[in-house]
Amino acid sequence: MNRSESKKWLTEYHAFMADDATVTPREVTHKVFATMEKLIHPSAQLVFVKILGFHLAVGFLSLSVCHQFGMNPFGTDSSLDTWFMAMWGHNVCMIVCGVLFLGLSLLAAGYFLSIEEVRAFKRTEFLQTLALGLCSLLIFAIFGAELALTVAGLWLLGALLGGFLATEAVWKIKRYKIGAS
Amino acid sequence: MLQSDESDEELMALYQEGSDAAFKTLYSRYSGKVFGYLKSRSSSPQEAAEWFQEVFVKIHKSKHLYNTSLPVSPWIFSVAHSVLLDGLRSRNRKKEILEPNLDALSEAPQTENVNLADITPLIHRLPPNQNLALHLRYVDEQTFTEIAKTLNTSPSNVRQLISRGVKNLKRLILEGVKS
Repeated sequence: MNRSESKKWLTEYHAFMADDATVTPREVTHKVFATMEKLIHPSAQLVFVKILGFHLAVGFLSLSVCHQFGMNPFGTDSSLDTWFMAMWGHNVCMIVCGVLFLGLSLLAAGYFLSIEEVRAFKRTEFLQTLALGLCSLLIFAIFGAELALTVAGLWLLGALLGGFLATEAVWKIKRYKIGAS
Repeated sequence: MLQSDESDEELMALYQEGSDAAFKTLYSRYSGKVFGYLKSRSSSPQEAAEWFQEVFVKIHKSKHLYNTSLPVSPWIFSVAHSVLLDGLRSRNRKKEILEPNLDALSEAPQTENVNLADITPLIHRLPPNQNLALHLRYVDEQTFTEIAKTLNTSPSNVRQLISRGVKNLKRLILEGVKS
């Protein structure tokens, strides 16, 4: 902005601040409030659909670094699950895989969601994370994964834990960014 | 709504965390100023209302960028100002697309006395589809949608057709003036 533009901006700003007489038409206010209501209180179902979309994409991509239930659509040679298995054994490996699979998706989705959407997700966090985990297991089963009840249960436990941790991280980052304590 | 003794900056901090009460109080303080500012620069109340709504959506979407240690009013004004500039630009673009009218012909100083009767013979020298489209638009004063129905094409094609027709007509007039 050059000097004359700054001067013009300032003049307009003073005129803007001095205007106490204009009244906004009631129907315009109603319209704005209706729009803002949707933005400030987004529907939990819509947020779920958005997150599910992210989860499908990120979850699929994450299979390239951590094969879930032996699924390896990218045909990669090495996988984190082999390392987890060697380090902590089968049960812990299933939990950590679940944490990673859902946690990564929620972290990625959190980047794009507004703070209001994250709050809407948090209100029904357990149900939504459980639904995401079950959807994932269903998709794995459709694509031929053999899911034993104990193994799937451990994986789901990990997914719930990953979902919880990622949501908390996203929530804290969002609040940190606006300077809230 | 919140107590009116809260400062704008405190309200903005609450609004950043998702408080709709804080939003409503801020709205009550600034809506008149924003509406007045936009109304005085818009061509119609509908346009002002459209821009006004856009201002508050933009404030909401960029509220996380606002630094609460700075005053709120210049920030809100800046948002309103940028929406106004975007609106004016978009209005000009629309005008260019929707109104490829015969005023363009007056750009050349030699043609300032041109009227419809003078250019009618020249319109007949245009390709038939351009000829018909110009006739329907400027003689019958039909809308783009009506012309599109008549010519069995889309309104955007009609706009292109008229735009080309006007260009060709302008060329013919200039050629006529030179010869």
